[in-house]
Amino acid sequence: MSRLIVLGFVIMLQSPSLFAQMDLTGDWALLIHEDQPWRGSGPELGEYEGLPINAAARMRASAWNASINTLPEHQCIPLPADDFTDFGNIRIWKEIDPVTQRVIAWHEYTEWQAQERVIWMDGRPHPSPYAPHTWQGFSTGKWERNQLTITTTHLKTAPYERVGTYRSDLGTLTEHWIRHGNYLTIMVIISDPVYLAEPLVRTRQYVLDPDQKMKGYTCTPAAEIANRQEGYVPHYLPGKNPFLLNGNVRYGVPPIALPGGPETMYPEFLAKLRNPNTAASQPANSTLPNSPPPARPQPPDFAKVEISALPVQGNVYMLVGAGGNTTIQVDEHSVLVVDTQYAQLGAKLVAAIRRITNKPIRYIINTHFHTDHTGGNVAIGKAGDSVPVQFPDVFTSSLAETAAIVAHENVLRKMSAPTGREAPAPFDAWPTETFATNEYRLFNGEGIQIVHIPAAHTDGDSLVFFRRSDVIATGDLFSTVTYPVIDRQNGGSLKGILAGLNEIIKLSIPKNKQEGGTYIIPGEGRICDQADVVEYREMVTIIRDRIADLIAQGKTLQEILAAQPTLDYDGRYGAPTTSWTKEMFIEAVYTELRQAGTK
Amino acid sequence: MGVRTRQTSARWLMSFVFFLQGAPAAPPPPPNAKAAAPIDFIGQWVSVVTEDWRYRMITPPKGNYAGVPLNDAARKIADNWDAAKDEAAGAQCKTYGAANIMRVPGRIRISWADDDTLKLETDAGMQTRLFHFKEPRTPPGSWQGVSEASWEMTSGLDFMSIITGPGRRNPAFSSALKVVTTKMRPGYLRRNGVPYSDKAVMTEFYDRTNEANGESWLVVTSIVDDPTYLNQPFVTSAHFRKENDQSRWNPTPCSAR
Repeated sequence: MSRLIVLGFVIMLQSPSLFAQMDLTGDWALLIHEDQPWRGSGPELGEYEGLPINAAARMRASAWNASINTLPEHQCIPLPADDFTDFGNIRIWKEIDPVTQRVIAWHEYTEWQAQERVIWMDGRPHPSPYAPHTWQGFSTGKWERNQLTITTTHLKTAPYERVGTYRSDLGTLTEHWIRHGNYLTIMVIISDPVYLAEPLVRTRQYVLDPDQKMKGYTCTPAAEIANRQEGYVPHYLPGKNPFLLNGNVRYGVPPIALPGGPETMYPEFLAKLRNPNTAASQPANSTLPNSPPPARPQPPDFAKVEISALPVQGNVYMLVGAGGNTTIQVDEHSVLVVDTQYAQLGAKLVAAIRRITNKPIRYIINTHFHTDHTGGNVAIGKAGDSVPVQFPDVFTSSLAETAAIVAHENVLRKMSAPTGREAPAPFDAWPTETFATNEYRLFNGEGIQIVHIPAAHTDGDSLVFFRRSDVIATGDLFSTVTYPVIDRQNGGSLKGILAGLNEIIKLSIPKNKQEGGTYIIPGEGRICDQADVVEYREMVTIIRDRIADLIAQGKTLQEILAAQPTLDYDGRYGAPTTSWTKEMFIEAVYTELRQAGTK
Repeated sequence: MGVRTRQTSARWLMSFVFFLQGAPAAPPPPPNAKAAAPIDFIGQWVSVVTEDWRYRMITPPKGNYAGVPLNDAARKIADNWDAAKDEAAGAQCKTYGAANIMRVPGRIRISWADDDTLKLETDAGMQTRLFHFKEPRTPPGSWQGVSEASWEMTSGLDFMSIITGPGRRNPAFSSALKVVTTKMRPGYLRRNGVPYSDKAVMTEFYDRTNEANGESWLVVTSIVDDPTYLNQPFVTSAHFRKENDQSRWNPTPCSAR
């Protein structure tokens, strides 16, 4: 017994850091003594003074229509981590390792919309950049004197004001939680390469309130406005938002200040407010000057590419290398692979699959024919073993020793060629099972729906829906890294892309507050859920409408390019890939809309 | 017994001996506040106005006092605010008193006036605040009142020292500047005549952050308690970014408008 007591003392002596922390535990009531109108009724539309936004953010906010919140996909979106200090009381508690007594994590619960954050204190790294993003993100903390400094990544794109000012999913948060007696000050620093020219810094206050009674909150979305067209996205076209001067009309905010931008945050701006007509005082509401397009990246060096695997949900994993994402689904008896990246990565892909499972690869599904999604068919097919052949006189034995390759029949058309002509893809890479209908079904330990989306990225696209795992692999109908790639030469169309995105939204069901539930593996980029697809669908729809409007005004393609109809999304999706640029996207949309004569 | 086990046992033994002998004597306290400063606020800082913009960067309309927990007497005064009267009375600096000066857009400079007095100067309104760590020598009734300062050095009790001797605290981990200001000349919490009285007491906490990008921020949490005009303490915070470029210091006199 005495040894245990000594041990206890010794542990305490050796662990002074156990005590070198402020205790934040408690129920805290939010004080709204500053920014009350912004946090209460909200700022006026078009009122961005004091926000260090850039031209892209301004354009996006100017397009924002409050009616967007009537869409079922928007109704349950909660306040994101950058905004929890605006509304609602909070509770903070710590999670302690029972052995070491060290704080593993701080938890924070916001009453408004019932959001809980976890701030990990155990030194764990932030997840892969390909991991899902959430409204609250992934947070780690460390103590710096009396401050709990928190770094948050993996945030979903979300507004931080109710006037359409957004922080993108590339944004990060830094917070400092500082307690002085019964008062808690939380400083939030929002950084975003897409929409902020400088970090947005805010400080908020709470007072300890141990007697408060927190309430729960649930949200079930419903159609608030009947008979809307599928995929309808409320928004204002450039120059047609009638509310952008409301801040001036109602509160006397000088028009020069309304567009916001970093300069409106600093004392020097006072001089411009006093002399709003000086030449240097032009409102910063113009778009960015057109600059030469950035150079396209070099093709990947396949020797250096490493394949990383991320568990998605249920029996499904995502493999990331170069080119399109690969999805694998592991059944008790066999493995199914969706898309196979480049041919040069075939062996690495097989090795990556074998690190997860040694079960036979029975099926390959190709979401379309492009070589960054089908190149590894041969290597993976040969590493596979299809279902035993019942009629060997019909199928060759060599075919039975490879995985079956399933795709829409247009994929086979694109990969093969008539007899006597050289095919674009080797014979062993061709689909062995094709379908010409809108849906094909498989069972590999769970039901698998392969849904054909006509004339979208190409003319042979398919979604793959794993029904029990609740995961959808989309192929290049959906990407988190580029604007939609519309391969018009091979039957692609914007109309089909939008139909595909809307189909993904229809198939998917969020778990709670527009988050989680069905997970979605895009053709390229990170793991998503429905909210991410909604964000992308709205981006595509808004840009389509803008280009259609410019066409209706009689603008030429060059004039439309100069008008920068994608400016607000270029920082997120506009970087060129080896085969696609934003200019190509605009031209594809323009051409299609011109040919259709209507949107 | 392996090497690792022997090393661990030796550490325990050393620790136990250390426990029996007690901790080394604490070093003598620093001779003055400057020497004791656990954190460096010295330098120039610029206010970054991302909050209450309509109340800070422009003069809001009379009667717009949203967010301030005013009582009826205060509302009456605010509803009758007249900038011209303040000018005529030579009271243009009512907005620049201690209870609001940190929210006035501008730059501040913090320096040591002497070993036990911090000086905070503002370019907006050209005000000077003195934070006294020893007996204040400032006369009462000025716009900036009388400020008493202390280093906030919070820490938990050291359990071992409770057993071995007089209770001793763990090394301090809180290192903020606390300033309590009283005896202020009545002024405005907002530019449009939202009043505070000479009975107001303001408690401030000054914290500094150091960011990964090299920037540093000063966060001033301010709690104004005024039995004359407030129903509850008025709590706000202002933030300032450290500036190495001194050239933007722009002294301007008080303005009532």
